[in-house]
Amino acid sequence: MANRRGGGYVVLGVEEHSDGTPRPTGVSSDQADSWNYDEASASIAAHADPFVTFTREIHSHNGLVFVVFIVSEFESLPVLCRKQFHYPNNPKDLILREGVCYVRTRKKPETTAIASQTEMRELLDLAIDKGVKAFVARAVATGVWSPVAGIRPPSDDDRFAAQVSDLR
Amino acid sequence: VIGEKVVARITSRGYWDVVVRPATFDEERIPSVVELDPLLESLQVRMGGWYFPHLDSAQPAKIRGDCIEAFVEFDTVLEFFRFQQSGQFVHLSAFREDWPERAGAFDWPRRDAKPGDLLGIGSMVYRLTYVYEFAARAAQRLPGSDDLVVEVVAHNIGNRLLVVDSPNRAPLFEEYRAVIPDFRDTRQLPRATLLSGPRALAAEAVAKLLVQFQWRSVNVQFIAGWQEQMFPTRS
Repeated sequence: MANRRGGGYVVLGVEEHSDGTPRPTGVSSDQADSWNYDEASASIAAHADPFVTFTREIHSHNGLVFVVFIVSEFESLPVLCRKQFHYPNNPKDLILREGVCYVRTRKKPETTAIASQTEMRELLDLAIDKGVKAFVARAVATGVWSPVAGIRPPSDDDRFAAQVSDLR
Repeated sequence: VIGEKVVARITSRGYWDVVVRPATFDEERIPSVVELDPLLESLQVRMGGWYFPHLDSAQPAKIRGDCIEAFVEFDTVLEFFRFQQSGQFVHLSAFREDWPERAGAFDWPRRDAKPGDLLGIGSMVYRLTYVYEFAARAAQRLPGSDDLVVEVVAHNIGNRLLVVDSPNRAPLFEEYRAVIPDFRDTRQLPRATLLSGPRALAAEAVAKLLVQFQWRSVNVQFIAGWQEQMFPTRS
């Protein structure tokens, strides 16, 4: 989610029907408590490089409780997996691989390593946009460039010249 | 552009490019486009010879958006003007010296010269004196009290020989030639300055132009003499 423009939501308490459609089941209050911010943050930080920014909220719907993680898009650099992760009960089943850049795919709602140039380009575009914004902010802060001068209105001379530009 | 072909012809050789306008831009300084004709007529300078600008009652200027435009082709006279509601007046005119193949009964008889060879002192004095007299009238009649900008560009003067184009004056003893391709003189002037001495301002501009022909010792009195001969003042 962090490697996606606008970030995204992770909702705990939703299973899938056999046809793949979501089936809200909710979580127990104990499960909701176990997903507290501090522990989730520490766990995610251990696996993310540089870091993931998120908030945690508890929502109720039709008597069911859901834990919602609101994940922000990365701040300046795409997030890589810092450390591999296995299913606790099956060490051979690798879920996260160290050094991989995971993204949400366009094909279906799942998270995978970057597998196509489309996903790579989207991620690069997002990183470039952030880099340009940071550069402009720094240029303004250091006085190298002024956005006021950059968009100054046309002068009287400019406006008169524009009236006869077809003759010049 | 009305008369696009004439403009293309004018700009294909040496030509004067004149702008007289207010210093500050107001798109509707003259509120209606139909006010432009009578206003321009009141600004026209008639000191002898070909008036500035040339207005032809038989072929009035065409309204085009927020301006009026007209052109004239008569022997070596090739001219175009545009007058806008902003108060901007643009006048393009060919160097008459550059159109020997069109020379008629009223033209200075150097028909052996080729386009780009010559520029006459009289042509300069004539053009610039008319321009500043026009600017003085504009200072009086254009709405507003802001400064006026007078810009004169003599295009394609590089390597031209300066000549005396008057039968009443002695030829030059030295050879004076310009090096720069274009001469540009832009001045922003208070209206009062324009009103009080347009001829002197024109003489200064001519002197600047003559210096670019390597005439280092030229002075405004010499040019004033030409002005007096061409446009005698009533005493």
